[in-house]
Amino acid sequence: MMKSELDRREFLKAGASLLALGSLAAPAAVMSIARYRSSPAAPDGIAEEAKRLTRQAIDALGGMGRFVSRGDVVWVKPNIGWDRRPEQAATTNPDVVAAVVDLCFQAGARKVLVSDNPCNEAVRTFPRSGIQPAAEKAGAQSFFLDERKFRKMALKGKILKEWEIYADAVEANKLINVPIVKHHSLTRATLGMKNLMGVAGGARNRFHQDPDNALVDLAAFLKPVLVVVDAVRILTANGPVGGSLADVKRADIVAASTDQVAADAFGATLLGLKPQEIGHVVEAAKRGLGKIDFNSLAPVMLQV
Amino acid sequence: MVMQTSCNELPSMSSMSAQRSSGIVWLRRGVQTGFLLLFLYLFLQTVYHPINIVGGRATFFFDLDPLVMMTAWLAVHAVVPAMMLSLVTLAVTAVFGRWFCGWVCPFGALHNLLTGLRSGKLKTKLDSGGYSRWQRSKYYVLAFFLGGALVGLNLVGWLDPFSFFYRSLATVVFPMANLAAQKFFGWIYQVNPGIGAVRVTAVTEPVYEVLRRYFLAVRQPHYFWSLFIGLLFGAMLALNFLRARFFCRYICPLGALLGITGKNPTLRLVTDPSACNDCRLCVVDCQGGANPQGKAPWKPAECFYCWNCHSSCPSEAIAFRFEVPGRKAP
Repeated sequence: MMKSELDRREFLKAGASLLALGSLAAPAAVMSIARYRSSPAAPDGIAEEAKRLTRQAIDALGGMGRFVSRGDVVWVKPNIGWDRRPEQAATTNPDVVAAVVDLCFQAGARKVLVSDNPCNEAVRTFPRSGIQPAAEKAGAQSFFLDERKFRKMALKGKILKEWEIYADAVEANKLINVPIVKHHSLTRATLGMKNLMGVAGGARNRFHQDPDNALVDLAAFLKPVLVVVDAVRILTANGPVGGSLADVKRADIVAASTDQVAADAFGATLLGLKPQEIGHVVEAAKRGLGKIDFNSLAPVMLQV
Repeated sequence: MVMQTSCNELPSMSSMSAQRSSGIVWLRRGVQTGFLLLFLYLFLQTVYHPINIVGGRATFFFDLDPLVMMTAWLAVHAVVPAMMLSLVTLAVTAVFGRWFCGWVCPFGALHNLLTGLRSGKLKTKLDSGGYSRWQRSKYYVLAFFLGGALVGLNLVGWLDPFSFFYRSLATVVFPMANLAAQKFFGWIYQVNPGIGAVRVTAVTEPVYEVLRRYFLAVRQPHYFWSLFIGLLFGAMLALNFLRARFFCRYICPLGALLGITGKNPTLRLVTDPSACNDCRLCVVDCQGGANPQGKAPWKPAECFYCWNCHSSCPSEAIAFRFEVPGRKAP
């Protein structure tokens, strides 16, 4: 039986109020920023760095158990949008994704789905980004989306009244957004909220006509339970497609946050931008989706 | 069991008990099925899914094909090393005859299958099964392709059996099957039929997941000229109802090449004239149109070594024996 999309939102609301009650007792961290002590060159070193940073960033928020319950179906949404290798920083680091999958299973998830509606052909992006093999190795199901499962849903946003959204992503118990920090030629930066476009179908190119409102409409509808920001490598120019290794910079950071606006604001600073310079981040803060001044959330700073 | 019939009268179906196919015929059918399934499996390996890498074995049948090797050599004076495998085919054919057509060729297996679906009337089968001089036309087809290759124009892909079969599968059969599957499973998914908690999707969705993962294309394939190719494919298959293994007998240039190569095999069909009662059941079931009866000389160049004649003969008048050509057995 198909669940209505409202079930998830109600569940999140209930969860949020429980969390609020719990926070009265012991304030749980809303955001963490984990920075690596060094910048290893060897692939093994980078893989180890990515895994450690991800684990510690999430542990600093109270562990994945805070977000994922036993028996949950979790949809992990990395950036698998482009036909690029991990070193080109156009897609999420596969080891960050694998670490997130591991943590979900450790928290008792029944099923973890790792997928995306990419811009390049999925047959190319899924293997070349390294995400599909890494996710499958970690025990997740990672396969191309099923065209039949895009369903028109009532987003009730400012400009997106209804849009085709992938049913399985919305019907999962939890949605975890795992973007990579990148420059974007139109919106100046593509971070977590822009990454959520990968759950939408239909004529998504239309979003670009009014990205500030479209992206916030989408983010407000999907409201991921956790955002894990991959900044091990970041794309500093010629995004979102990239390609040249000269545009890739090692920031050696992974951040985690329950506030998707704060996560995006932090990511912007890594690109040398002020969060206020990014239209959809400002719009999201204006609509009360989160805090643009991430420092005010007192993020847990970690040296790993 | 000897039949008392006159020379030109076929035994009626009711006057003889059904002849069971011999063990070797069953073995042959098994081997043909195996190679046909292998061809289909290798075909699926080339479908653009899920990774854009074609496995090395996908060209196996083409590597075995001496016609492909020869025309490539004639046209561009170069061959892919794997094509040397085709020399094995030539060698085996030269020594033992056209076993390739009877046991290995997957396109031939398909024609064989359809030929077997011909009307049960013995008279029909006899008319469509006997040798015809038109079977020489495939040698002209072969000459055309070899001649063309000699002047640098390699068109063998038009009628080479593997090229023909593969092209038809790729541009017609697979896209149709893919579309049909997606439409069907998509329709069930949308309509979601069932009674109460029991939904059809509980069965169809897992099936569709397997299909999606291992068989279906990620994007619906579209090809130009697919209607023409499809009609051609359909016509070739339908012609089996006119003459047994029509393509193999009249058109196939590879068959022609193997026929020339296998003109003097060591394994030869011998008929015992004293045992033969002229029932012509061997001719009815002959796949290649090779005159198995022995009244007219047996044509090794047309024989697929399918062993149907040996299996059909009620008086055990037909046998295959090793003989060095030119020297009769003592």
